[in-house]
Amino acid sequence: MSGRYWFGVVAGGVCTVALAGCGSSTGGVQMVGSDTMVNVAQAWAEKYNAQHPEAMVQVAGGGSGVGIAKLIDGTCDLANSSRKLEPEEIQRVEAKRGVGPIEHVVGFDALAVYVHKDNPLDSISLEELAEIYGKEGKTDHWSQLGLTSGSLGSDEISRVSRQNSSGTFAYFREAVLGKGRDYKPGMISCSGSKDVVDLVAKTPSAIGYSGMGYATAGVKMLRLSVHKGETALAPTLANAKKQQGGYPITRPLLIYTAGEATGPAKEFLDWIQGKEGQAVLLELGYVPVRDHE
Amino acid sequence: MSSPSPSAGPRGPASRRFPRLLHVVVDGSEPVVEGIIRLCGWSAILFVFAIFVFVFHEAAPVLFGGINLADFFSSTDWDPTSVVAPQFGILALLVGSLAVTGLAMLLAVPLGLGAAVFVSEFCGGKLKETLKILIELLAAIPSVVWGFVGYMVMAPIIIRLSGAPIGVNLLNGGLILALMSVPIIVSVGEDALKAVPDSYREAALSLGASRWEVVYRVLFPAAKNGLLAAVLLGVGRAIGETMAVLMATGHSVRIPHSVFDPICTLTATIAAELGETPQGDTHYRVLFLIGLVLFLVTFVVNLAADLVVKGIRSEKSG
Amino acid sequence: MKRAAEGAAGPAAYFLRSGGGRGAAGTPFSSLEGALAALGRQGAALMADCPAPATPSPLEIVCRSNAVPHRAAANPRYHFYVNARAAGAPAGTAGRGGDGSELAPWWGLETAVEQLLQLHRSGQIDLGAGHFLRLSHREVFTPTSLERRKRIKENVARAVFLAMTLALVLPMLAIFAYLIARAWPALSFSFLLENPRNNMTAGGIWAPLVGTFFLVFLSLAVAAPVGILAGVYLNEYARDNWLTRTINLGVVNLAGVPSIVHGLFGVGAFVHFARMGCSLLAASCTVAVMTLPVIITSTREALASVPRSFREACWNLGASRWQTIRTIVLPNSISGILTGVILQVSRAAGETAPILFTGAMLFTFVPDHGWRAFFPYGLRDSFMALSMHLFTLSKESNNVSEGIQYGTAAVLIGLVLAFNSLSIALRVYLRVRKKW
Repeated sequence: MSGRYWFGVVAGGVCTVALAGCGSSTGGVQMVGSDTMVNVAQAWAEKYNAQHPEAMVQVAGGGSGVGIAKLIDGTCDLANSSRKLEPEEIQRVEAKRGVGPIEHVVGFDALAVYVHKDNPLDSISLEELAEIYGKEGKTDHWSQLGLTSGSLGSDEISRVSRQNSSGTFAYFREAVLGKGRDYKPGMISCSGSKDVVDLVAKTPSAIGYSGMGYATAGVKMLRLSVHKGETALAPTLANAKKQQGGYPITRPLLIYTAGEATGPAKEFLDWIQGKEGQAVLLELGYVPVRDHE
Repeated sequence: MSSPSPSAGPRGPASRRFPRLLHVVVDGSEPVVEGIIRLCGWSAILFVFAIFVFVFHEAAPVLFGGINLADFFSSTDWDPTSVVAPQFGILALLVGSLAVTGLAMLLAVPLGLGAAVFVSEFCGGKLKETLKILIELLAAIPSVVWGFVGYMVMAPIIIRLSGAPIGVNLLNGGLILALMSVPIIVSVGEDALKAVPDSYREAALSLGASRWEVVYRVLFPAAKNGLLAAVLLGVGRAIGETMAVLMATGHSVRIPHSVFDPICTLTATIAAELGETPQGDTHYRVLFLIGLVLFLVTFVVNLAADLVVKGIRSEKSG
Repeated sequence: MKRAAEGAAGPAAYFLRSGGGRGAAGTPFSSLEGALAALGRQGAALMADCPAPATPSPLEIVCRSNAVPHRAAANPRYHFYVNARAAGAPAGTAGRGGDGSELAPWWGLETAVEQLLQLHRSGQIDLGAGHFLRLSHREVFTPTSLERRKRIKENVARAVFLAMTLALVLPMLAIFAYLIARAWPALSFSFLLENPRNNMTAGGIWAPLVGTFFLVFLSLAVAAPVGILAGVYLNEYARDNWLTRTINLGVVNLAGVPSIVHGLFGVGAFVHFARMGCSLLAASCTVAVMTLPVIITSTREALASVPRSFREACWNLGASRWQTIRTIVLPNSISGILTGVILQVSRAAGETAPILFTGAMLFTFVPDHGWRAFFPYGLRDSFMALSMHLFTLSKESNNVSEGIQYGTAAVLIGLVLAFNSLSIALRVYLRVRKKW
């Protein structure tokens, strides 16, 4: 008897859940993509959901590549990306979704190069960075940059990078290593922007790159110059805002949609590009669109 | 049958009629029920087959000509998003997987077998129950929690104790994997030792052997198949582990030269990169190909363990 | 030198007593020789009285002095041994045997008394006030050196194996105690009931918690019936032929498939082929396939534990196989089956790899009050899950306080351990209750 009783209870529970499951609505706005933008995306989603609960914005990370892949597959509404779309990706979107992707600039980010706070290095040039990170690059040890390994623990440079689905990964490759040059194998790939900074903070002999909004107390940001010997600029809001002569690696934060956005997605996108969305962006350490001259 | 037939008049008691109808319905549908049961019975093998089919199906286009298979297995260049030309060499990943599994087994097998011997031979009663329960609970800890422990707790300890530059590395992954595979080695090993008939032990004891000698000279040879199966199952678990190695090994594609190097394993690569590829992409298919490799490896390991165990069964009954 | 106490205070008196007693009765003797002689006479009688194979209690000579207050010493000052049951002295030793020590006792009481008198006369026994001398009996067999070596080896082996076991258990317990300790400040009811707020740097874990609950429920709703019926088939219907062996092989292999391959299968089969998309449904089906083998195995064991006589009795009454199963076998094995199912609850709650790509999301807005808080996810929605949440918090979210990360880990462990303990308790209860 008791067996049957419990069976009835469980069966009733299953039915209730199933019914309730069917009852609640699906949909909502799906925003997927860049890990660099995931924190600001979440902040947007939280604030927007608080004001417009019926929109039900859902956020996922994974890297710009993930967002673009989902845009191609049609499983997301807004794809966050910290790099521009490649021509093949544009073609793929057109082929699969029937319309071309439309790019919306929602902010700017200065990509900072982080080292451990005890590292004596203060500034570096893009050329030197390319020698450290790029394939066939010759700089493997801190001593080649003129540093003694005293406070660094080990002379070997531990290169920290992002996973290869990351827009940051791709942007750094293009902006610093130059077109057509790959990374040197053997770097430590972290799966999130925060991860990079965490690892650099724990590893005195490490160097890494991540968004400037992710700085913590255990790291310091290097000032960058384009060529060796030029004035090096720090990744600050002021330097990032300048388009000419500013911080060398500033990139736009982009949201892609397949064709024009419609409905709740469009409202959300408008809100992001409006005053409130941009205020959130500024709060988290990025450069709002308007301020970028 | 002496019960009244259903047609015993309209005044026949309903309580008599309904049960018969119910029984007729339920028992009449027995062939249907048996059919469902049979189908469910085949479900395990159907799912194994289905897993193979689906993974193979997604990987097939690259398997048959999409990429250079020789390079796939022998090149250390894993660069699927390269701007020059995507590289799909998994040698470094394979070595990473094998290295972390090997290190884990180096730690787990002696400790696990030792613990199995202790629980089975050297302790009794309450202590035995407590240890068995503890080990079972340890087996239940989820993989992501182990990864979290490796990343947050063990990494700083490793850095502090050894001065290595990075705490998430081969050593960290090996330690965590060892702790994860030990419960399965202990429980299967203990079963194997329990399966040795008591008459063996009694015979040895009556000849004057101490308990250690009974274990060393009688039980190990008698249970060696079962213990080997335990080790194989532990290996299978370690090779297939995903989240713990993803969080604890540092994710760096290279062939490790020391235990303090961060590495990348096959499983971690799939977990880290699957989301970024649109369906049908070469990268996507290569990841499925890696999954196929993993599936085949664990299939072979489990098959071997099963055959080894069956070996003892036929040995004993034959 | 012999009776130093006597010179300082009153005369010492020697009493005989049978071992272990605190009092000293009988006539006192003024000298140790007298006491020893009396010991020789009386002791033999005492020892003869004791029925074999009981060990007679030790004989003692206590020294008391009136001036010195009586302190009952716990341990004897001198402890000699007699092997009272020695069947004659070994040849060539003329009745002397050993030296009274534990491993080489004197062969008989007379020898003992003789040797004691000799020791006393040569001044090697100094029994002051409050001390006592004990004559114990040694076992018949003293260990040979071979046996002693073996015993040492066994103790060493036992210590080594115990150390191995502790080397496993203790670090794990230490790690988890540390986890709980770090998580303690963040744990509270509001942690469980609030949604993550402010980029997951504040708030609680309600949305992932409820997502995990639904995931587990749905996956077991799919896996349990299939698994139980499969176990029924394997135990009741299957004949011992190649097909059954293959199915058993299939179960074992399904159990060994890596979790990420389950994830790949879920993506290929449920997300794309069955067009479920990244949803609760797809994730539940993937997790269901993963938990199937253990349910099958535990059902099979539970059914096998029902004695055959039950089934035979049913068959004798004319029941068909399904009737037998439905009415007798299943109800009697339901607790064993439940054990397996509950075990898989914890597994389904803890796994991350299968749900990474089939439905789990980084962040989903979910109401945390009102009745909607309890049914926030539709079947086709993406959802948050506790295991994925832990992964996200530690690897991807910025500035999350360590308390929240540890707190999430602690809740996950707590959930898993709670269900596993439930399953273990059920199993122990079963063993106690089932009387066949």
